[in-house]
Amino acid sequence: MTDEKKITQVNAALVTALPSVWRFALSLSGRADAADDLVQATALRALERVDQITEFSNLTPWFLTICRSIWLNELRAAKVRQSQSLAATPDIDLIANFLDIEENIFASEVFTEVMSLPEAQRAVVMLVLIEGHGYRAAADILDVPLGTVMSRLHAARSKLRRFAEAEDGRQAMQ
Amino acid sequence: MIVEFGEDELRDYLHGVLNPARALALEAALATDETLEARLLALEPLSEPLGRAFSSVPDHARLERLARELPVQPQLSRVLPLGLVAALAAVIGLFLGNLTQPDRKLSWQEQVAVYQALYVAETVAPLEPSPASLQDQFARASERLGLALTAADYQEVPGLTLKRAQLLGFEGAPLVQIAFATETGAPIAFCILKTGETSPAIVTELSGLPTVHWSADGFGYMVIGDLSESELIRTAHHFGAAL
Repeated sequence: MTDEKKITQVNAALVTALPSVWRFALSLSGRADAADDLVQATALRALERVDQITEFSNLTPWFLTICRSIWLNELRAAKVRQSQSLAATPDIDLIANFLDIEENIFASEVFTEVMSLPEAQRAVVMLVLIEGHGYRAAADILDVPLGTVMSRLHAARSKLRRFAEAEDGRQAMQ
Repeated sequence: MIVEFGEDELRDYLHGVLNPARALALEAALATDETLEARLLALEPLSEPLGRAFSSVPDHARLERLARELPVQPQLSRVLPLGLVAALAAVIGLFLGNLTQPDRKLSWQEQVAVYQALYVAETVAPLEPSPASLQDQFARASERLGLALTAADYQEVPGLTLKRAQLLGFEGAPLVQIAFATETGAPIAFCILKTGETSPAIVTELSGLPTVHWSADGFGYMVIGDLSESELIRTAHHFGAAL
């Protein structure tokens, strides 16, 4: 495949992967503006490295790996310096405007709680529970052992459990 | 040695109440057992509420801006002739706009959109195919397209119910329309055409319907129907991943 075709493929994949990459960037950085920067940096790096790609069928994990690498190696320190800390600052404006007011309140609570998790747990929750990647895929993207993914998920589940119970109640009522 | 885990044990693990020795054994087994991983993921009680809460994040405006700001042009200028850079920049410029040129032949996407615009909720509502019928429809579609498609890949699409896979044609090339209904009954279609083109994903509106289309590896793809833009892109991503 020519470089020209590879770039076209990566562009197409970037556009369709944008929501996933942005949510992952948000989970890493905890801030919407930092997620924007991280997505742009990820896209730039991906386009610079098209020659590394051998399989174009599912590039999203590759984008996410680049995103994680840029965050840890290049942007995180700068963002921490800017904001003094990366304590959760849930951006309420990000939350979806569901038509159903109860659904809206529920979504806001879920969003705030997820964004209040420590960065490491937040990233795993985003990859596995929200984006639907497997445990091993998440371990590969985050470059951590599988056991680390499982223990972070375990810790996060204990804080988010009430939402699963609320969901059970909701389904029972329907 | 394969260690077996029952569904109750998997649920206990997810609820943090499985005894520690079995929990350790389960985590060890996950390293090599893909089926176990899939079973555990399928039972995850948090996926649904969390997925729903983040389903419209990022919102439409941010997604639109991010797509426009994707760093395409500077990078392409390093490796592509300037003419092609301009052409691709124009494509990105059209990312969310309308393409309207009167008196010209309709592209396959526009032709599909004209057809899809005739669909109403009642078109798809009565379609309740049996598993065997769906399997047969997908087998015929796969054969004509030369692309492996299985009904199972399209039965778990969030918010959509699979209704039919039907074989159509465009200028002699096989065209498959996979029809769905949203939870409110709105008709949605995922269409695949065998084509030699390659093009990036474009989100637009055709015949009044939100549409995303792209092509890769010899096939053109298109998702069309009354979805919000974030739902549309999310659905396209889901379909793209299933291919």
